[in-house]
Amino acid sequence: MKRFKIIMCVLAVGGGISGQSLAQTGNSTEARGGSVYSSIGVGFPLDNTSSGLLSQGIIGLTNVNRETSSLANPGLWAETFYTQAATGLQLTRSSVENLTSSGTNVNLETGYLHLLFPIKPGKIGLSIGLYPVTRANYRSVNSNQFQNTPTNTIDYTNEVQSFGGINKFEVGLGFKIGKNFAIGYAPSVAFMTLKNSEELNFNILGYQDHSQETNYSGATFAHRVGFTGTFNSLFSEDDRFSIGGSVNLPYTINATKQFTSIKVVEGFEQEVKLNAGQDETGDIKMPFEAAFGIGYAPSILSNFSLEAQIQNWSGFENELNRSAEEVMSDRFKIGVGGQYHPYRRNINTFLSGFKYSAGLSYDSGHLSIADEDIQTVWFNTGIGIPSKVASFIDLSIQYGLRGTTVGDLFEERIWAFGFSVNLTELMFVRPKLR
Amino acid sequence: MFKKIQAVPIGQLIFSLVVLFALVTCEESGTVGAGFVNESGIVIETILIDELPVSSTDPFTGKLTYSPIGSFNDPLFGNIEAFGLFKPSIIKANIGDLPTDSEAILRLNFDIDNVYGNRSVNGTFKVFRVGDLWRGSAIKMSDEIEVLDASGGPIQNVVGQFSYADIDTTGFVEFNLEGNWKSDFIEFYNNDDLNRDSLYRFEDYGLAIVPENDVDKVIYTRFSTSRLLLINNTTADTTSNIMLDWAYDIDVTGGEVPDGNITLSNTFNPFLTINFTPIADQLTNNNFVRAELVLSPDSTTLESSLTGTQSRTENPPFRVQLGPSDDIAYDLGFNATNLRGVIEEGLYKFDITGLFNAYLFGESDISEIYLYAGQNQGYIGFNTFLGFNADLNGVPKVLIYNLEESKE
Repeated sequence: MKRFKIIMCVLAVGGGISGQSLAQTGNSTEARGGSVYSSIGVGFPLDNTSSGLLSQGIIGLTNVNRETSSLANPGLWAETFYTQAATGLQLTRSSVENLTSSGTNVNLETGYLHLLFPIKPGKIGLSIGLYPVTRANYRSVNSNQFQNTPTNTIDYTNEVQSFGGINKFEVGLGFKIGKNFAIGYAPSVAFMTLKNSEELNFNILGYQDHSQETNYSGATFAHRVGFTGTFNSLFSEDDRFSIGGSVNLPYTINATKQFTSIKVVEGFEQEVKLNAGQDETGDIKMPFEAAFGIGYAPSILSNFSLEAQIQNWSGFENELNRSAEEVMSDRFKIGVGGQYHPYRRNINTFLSGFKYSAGLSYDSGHLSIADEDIQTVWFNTGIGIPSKVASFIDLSIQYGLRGTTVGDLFEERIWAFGFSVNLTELMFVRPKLR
Repeated sequence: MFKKIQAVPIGQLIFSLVVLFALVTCEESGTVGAGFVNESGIVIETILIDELPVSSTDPFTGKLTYSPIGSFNDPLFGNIEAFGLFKPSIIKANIGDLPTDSEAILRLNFDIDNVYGNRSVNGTFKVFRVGDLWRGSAIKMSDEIEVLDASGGPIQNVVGQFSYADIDTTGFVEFNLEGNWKSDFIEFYNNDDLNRDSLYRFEDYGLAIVPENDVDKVIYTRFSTSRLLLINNTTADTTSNIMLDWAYDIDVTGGEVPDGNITLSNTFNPFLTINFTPIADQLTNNNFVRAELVLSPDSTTLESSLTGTQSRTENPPFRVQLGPSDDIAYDLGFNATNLRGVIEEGLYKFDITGLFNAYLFGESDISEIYLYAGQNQGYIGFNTFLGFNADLNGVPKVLIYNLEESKE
């Protein structure tokens, strides 16, 4: 038990720190590239959920399984009995190709940090979350050339990077209403830190290397609500049926665009503002989102879920980058999956000490480029490793097919490895309360 | 409802997970996506220069490594007349006083690799006394220095002379200095007064090496390695005296440079003063990776204007110096050049990215920059480039390598 606690703490903290640095610093020597499509707009929309839910192809809208906290539905927070802390990281390795090129992108980044406190156990829960809403994590080094005289060309490389996105810091409450229902409300501060950079490298005397950055930043308030309905012993003595839904209201970030470069001025390197020295400001309107799911657990040993999401990305507006608006389209995602929990049988064998998950999901994508939707199909599976208390380590493996090579677009074959920890009562509940 | 959870061995799984992550993250990141992601491109913008005001200055001509001596009529850049000035030192060696019959031998050193003019003729150079006080550290090209004969009248009496043919293959020539200059010099040399140096500096004006009409070339003296050999004929002792001071005087007249061309000389007559502000104000984009000033040397005219036996000292390179300057003659002559051009495909190109950066983002006063033919330690040279009437390739211009902003 002691070993479990130590390993979980080290992995959670260490993984969080390293993943954060790799994903968000954008350091050219360390950062790995993610999806090529994440370079568009404000990044790729993310599903912030544990590996246990990812491995079922769902985001966790229902209360069919009480093991994990979920950021997806504020209504779930009312029913927690334990203080919980959850975080995770994900490694993706994508084989990318279009009609003319192919390659591999590797990306490691943290997902979310979620703390859940039972203000009144089983009745009122307080949630504090920090998580990304969208994420750009693209990097490529492109070889280019230009003609400086009628007979001479200059070769150079351009390292193009796009890192960051929109994040939320959220504090919310869930309330139990009656025996079967709960609602939740979660206001948040949505803040944007997105950096698009280029670094031109000339391997020729007389041409200095050039770097430039476009930084987008801004913040606003956002709101979302959720509900759950949970019914035990509906069709049999041990079964459970649960429904849940959530709504993210659209919000508008008044963002500032800073276009800067490092130049040698009067013998010293200094950061200078381009765009005539003026920062641009403009509104970025994020889409309305809604999600609904149902779950059914025939017994304590298994549960199944079906969940669907819509995001109104066709309503996305970006006054600082109008061209991105043209390729946005409404996103629809549906997932179905289930879990099997042999460890609840108290059989003392190795394989019965885990929980097993599998699922399938389809994502229509939020991009439609050259009349082609950038869709993704995910095949998901995973295992969960329980402790003697209710804490879990969840591991997920996903295989996804995204995009198409039609129209010289990119098709990505993605292997995603997820890791999340859910620390329940490990540090937050005194033994006398158990 | 839910039963007690049971612990399982997880050490191996955790270890496997960490190893898996480490192995996969060691892969090199991808480079796929070129042409799809927004990316800036380089577009070259041309700013034509329509004004290059001509200026001139009075350069320092003393104490340079080389002192031009001779005459040559360059059909392109004009008639050049130059004579050298020098004054041997009177540092007294341990040979004691010199008797009046001692010999004074001038051992002159020349750069035999560089000749401006006609190498195929010899010609005579003569040495005369000088009638005006001058100092190598202060003399300028406009200073009028009179060359005297022994009686103080026009050039008649020769202190010494040599022929171009007498210069040996190592660049040295030796010949005797005679006349009243020698006796005056020995008198200064033998003077034991404490003020002998001062007296010599102010009362002896030195000697001039003047070309005869048959020279048809300019050659370059290295006074710093030339010596005055003093031989005591009584004791047979010899002492070698360095040069205390030296300089040259030059006149350039005439010349027929093609109309529209702009000619620069490394005597800074002329040089160009450019007001950088109106050029920089034409920038349409302040995001650029390079800016270059482009001049087109008129190599056709330069190469076709001399006959087979004639040659020029290497055409001096163009240089750019930042202004404004309180002493332009000194700054162009002795201060480090700010920008040196490079020749690329026959065009002179200066990287002036720093100037634009300073103008746009800095606080330096760059309203005035100077374009000149680089001084070359006394070598005389000219260079000419195409002017405002040339075609787009040849006209003076500034090229800006703009980064065309990505489609954001």
